[in-house]
Amino acid sequence: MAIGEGTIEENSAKYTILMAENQTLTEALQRLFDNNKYPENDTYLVVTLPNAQYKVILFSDLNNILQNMGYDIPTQPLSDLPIIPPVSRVVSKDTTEAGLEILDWVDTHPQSTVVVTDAGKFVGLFVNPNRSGDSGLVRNLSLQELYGDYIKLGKDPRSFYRPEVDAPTCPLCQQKHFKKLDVEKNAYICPIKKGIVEQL
Amino acid sequence: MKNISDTVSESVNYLGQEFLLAYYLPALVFVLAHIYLLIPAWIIALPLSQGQITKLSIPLIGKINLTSIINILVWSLLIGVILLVLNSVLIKLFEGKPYWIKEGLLKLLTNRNRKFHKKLYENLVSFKKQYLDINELIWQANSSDEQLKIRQDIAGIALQIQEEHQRIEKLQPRQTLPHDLRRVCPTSFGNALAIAEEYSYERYGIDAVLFWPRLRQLMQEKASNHSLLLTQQKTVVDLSINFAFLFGLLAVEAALTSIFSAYRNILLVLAIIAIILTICFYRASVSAIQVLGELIKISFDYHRGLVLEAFNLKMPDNLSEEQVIWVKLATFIRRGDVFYFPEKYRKTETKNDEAKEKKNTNE
Repeated sequence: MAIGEGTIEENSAKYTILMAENQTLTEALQRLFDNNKYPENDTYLVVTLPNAQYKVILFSDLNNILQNMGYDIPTQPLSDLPIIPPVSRVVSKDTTEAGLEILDWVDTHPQSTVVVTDAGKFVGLFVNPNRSGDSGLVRNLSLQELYGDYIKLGKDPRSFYRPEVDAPTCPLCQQKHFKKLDVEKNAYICPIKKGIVEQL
Repeated sequence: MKNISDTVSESVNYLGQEFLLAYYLPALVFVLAHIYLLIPAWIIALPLSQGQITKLSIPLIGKINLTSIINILVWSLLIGVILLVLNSVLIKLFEGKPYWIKEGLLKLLTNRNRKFHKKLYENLVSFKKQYLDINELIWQANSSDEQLKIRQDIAGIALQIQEEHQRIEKLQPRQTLPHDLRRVCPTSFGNALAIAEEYSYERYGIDAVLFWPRLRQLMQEKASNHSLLLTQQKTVVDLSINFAFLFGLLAVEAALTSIFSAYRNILLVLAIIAIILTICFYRASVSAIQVLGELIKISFDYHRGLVLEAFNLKMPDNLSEEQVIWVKLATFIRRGDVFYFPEKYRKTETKNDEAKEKKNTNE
């Protein structure tokens, strides 16, 4: 299995800016401004790290975070910036997984990022920008319960246990029924004659 | 070191945008009404000199500075968090579920609804129960004659159920009360939620109250758009019930304060406005919970399979068998005995089989 060219082309993030680990945020922003067709809220900054690792962040998220950071941040190497999170997964184009499986994984993981590489080089980025599930305590806890009562199981015959074998003939009363365990007597008894059928 | 306004801002961020809208905003309005209207009226009512009154009032209504703004923000945050913690209590209160409301304060409404329920659904509920019971007899039938008789009985009851539906639809086209008498509440808010709770049981045998937390968790991951809609609608419900509750509280406070205050007329007007707003927000909450109820129904209609998948069970081909699965699974979850688990419907394919299937589909 492998990730096809078509899958990467169709599903990869439309705008990405690839930067080396030792480049700075100023340079990254300069690249963004140079590409004036790249919308800030739809362009991802991808930073390559040693050992085929990557960091990814949306430029618009970066701006929001930068407002609360120190003045020297724009001149530090991108690899040193803890505000840029590491990519969720890095997969090679010739992976054993199918492209659809990887896309399924991205779909089911809000805020996930997957970098696709070919011979160690960046070729695509799959992202799930959906924030459902991690945008505030209230949203996470919202509507986790309904407030009513459970149904009454005893009134629903579909909840009853049905034995898959016929009842045996009781040696005491010669009728067909299941013997019952009497905890006090520590014995099985006949529910009709109440006598002990089998002592434990 | 962080200042208080940063802490407030971070707390609100941590709690999320929904908190800001549904809890913080009503709390802020409540705090402002107190600071500018009620607390000054309380201070003036105290036996104090003019100088003392001014000294006490100025921090509240006099100079607006950073400290007074931060005070307002902190108090609003505190009340907002209290509302959040009391959310389920408040919802039960609006449903009219607590005994002292259902059988005490709103007993007349409860009885009226029960009477109406009897008129509408008493026969239908009995027929439905009979239909279920007779269906269970089929597996016990020993001969084909006996089976035919049971099938005829089932058809007879089905026709009676149909007649009942036609009669009820003439009287009331839109359902406003749950079919289960036990779930009938004194308030429209409670009945709207109760209808949503029993919907999935009547159609699929799903105990909504039991399975909802499980389905909700799975939908957050696998049906995130629908999950977001539910969260947004719940925010609207919370916003309206929080406003209704706090305006109700404000009305009581204003009415009580007017008894001993020199500004009796102003406070009485405030109480009347607050009562009107309480009614408006309560009505809004009823509409909002009806929409939420529809979204809950849709969740079970479209996404219930996620729960079966999580239990490694397959969806059967017909509805009767599906109903049995859900009831058995509910029994297993609640009682815990292994023989209740619907083993017959366990998925048997291995992961390799699934991969093969996927490969074939791709090819």
